[in-house]
Amino acid sequence: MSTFRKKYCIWIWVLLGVGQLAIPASMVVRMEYVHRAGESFRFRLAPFDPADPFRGRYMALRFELENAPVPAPSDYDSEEPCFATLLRDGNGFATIGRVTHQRPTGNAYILLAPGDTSLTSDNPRQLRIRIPLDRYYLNEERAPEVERIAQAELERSRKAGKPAQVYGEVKVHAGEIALTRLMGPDGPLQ
Amino acid sequence: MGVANSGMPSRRFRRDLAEVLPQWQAKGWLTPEGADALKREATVDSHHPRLGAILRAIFGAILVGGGLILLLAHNWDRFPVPVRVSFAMIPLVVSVVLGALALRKDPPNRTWAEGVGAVNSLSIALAISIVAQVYHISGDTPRFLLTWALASLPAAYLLRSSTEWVLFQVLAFSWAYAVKDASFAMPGYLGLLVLSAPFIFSRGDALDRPFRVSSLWIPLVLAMTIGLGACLRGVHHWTWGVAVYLAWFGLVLLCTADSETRGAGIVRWIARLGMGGLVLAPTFGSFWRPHPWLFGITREEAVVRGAILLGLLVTPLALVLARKRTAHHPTDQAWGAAALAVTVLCAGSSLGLQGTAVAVIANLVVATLAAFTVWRALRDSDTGRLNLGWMLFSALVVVRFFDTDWSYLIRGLVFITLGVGFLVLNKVLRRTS
Repeated sequence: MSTFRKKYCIWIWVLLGVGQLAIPASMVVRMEYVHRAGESFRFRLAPFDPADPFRGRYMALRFELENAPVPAPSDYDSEEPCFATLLRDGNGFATIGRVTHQRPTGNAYILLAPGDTSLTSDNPRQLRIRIPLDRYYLNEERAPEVERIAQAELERSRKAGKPAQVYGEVKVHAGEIALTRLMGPDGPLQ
Repeated sequence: MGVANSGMPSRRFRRDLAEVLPQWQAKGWLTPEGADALKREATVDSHHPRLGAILRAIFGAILVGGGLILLLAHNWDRFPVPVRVSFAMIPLVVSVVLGALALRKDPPNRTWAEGVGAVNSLSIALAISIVAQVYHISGDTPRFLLTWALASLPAAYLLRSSTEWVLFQVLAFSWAYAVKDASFAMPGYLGLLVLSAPFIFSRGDALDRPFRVSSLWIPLVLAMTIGLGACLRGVHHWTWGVAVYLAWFGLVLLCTADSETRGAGIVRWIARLGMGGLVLAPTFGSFWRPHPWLFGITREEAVVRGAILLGLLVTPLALVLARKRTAHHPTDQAWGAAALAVTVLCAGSSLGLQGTAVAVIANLVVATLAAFTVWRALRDSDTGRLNLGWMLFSALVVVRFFDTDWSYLIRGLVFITLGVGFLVLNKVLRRTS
């Protein structure tokens, strides 16, 4: 082993260790920043597949926002990321304002990767978007109960023709989005 | 005689020596001092631990870590977020501390290095996964795999940990499969391989050093064989996948031609079996359905594809021409010739060559290869190669049975020819044994 390696190997290793730790640490910092500085929105849940809403320890999520097409930007390119500005409807739930390839002003927008948008098959001037939140981790022992509550509420609302009171509380900040909790008709689902 | 090219005795040689030395001493052929000197010369490197110790270290470390995680998981929901995040980082911190302790010694203790390497690699994945779970972050499998791979590779180099390096190879081809439909799959995977390649040579040992270096070729060859499959998903037609794999296996045979270690032997068998399977491809009628790969494209694309075609011919050609290099494995020249013929046939099929006659020629090429392999094996009394040639013959017969592209007449004639060949071979074998 060279003298250089002998002398500095341990220090290089420690630096590497710091670098490895920086990867999950950067995820934590990013998410904590969004949680603290982000603007709150409510994303209404869409009905999920009752046969298998759970995969492993998490509940697969779909939002009503993903069912409503939005106008595509005039310069839409499926290979480029997009930004979707968020607005609130009369009931306080999030809706998509507009989708652009340019970063909007303010902070109430989410970054959509190239795979998160696609033109609708029946109207090439409209987009379907996929919210980059697809899972909610739950205790496996609580999961069946949570599923029952969510399913019951979605079914009730469908029959009544009213929006479901099952939604995700989300924080949004400068393109980043973080799911803080799922809410049911009687409070947090966890 | 069992001494590898680098002058280091192979493991088999040391084992045989340990058995015969007492006998030689008893017969008076060797003095006690001579026996001791021979034992010292052929002794295991003091830095070269036994495989069992290393495996126990790796599995022990993983099981201890896994057990601790399961204990934590039982009470997971009761912990606040900061505590959960801390738990995510602890295994990684511990692996860094243990790695620093291992690196105080030069070179690091092999058992320690392998165990720490395994824990370090798995800790990276654990930390990322737990943080993603705590914050409900969406899954992005390719990005996760790539981050995990790139974060662990430098650690493999520093610790000189084969385990962490092998895990990197698994991650690399897993990533290639995860992004198989993307245009950057192939260059990305090759890039990852280039990053990891120096590891094989970084320890300053000859390629033939038992276990420590030559054994790395086994996971590398396996990993690259699988990874190539991921990168070839977007290839225009599967015939080109055949040509690429033939070139790859030919390269493996060329690189290991002058190595006599057990690791090299295993790798060569993987390559030979792979080539054996692949040379059967053009014997199928569906291989000869037209798929113009060099027509209807721009001039630039034609130049690029033509260059790829020529490039794929290099390795089989080298196998045929490099007689000095393959002097110990003359059958490899036959494999090279067969690979060359099949690659030319691939090119032909892309240029519009089709029809039953060409498929029959392909069958004759493979049958000739099998016959040559058997003949040389008989001459050299090599049972392994004899089985290989025999297997190739058998495979040729079996696949013909399921090949629905030929008429009964053609199949019948081919079966009769091969059957007669079997009977003749049987007679020759009986005479030889």
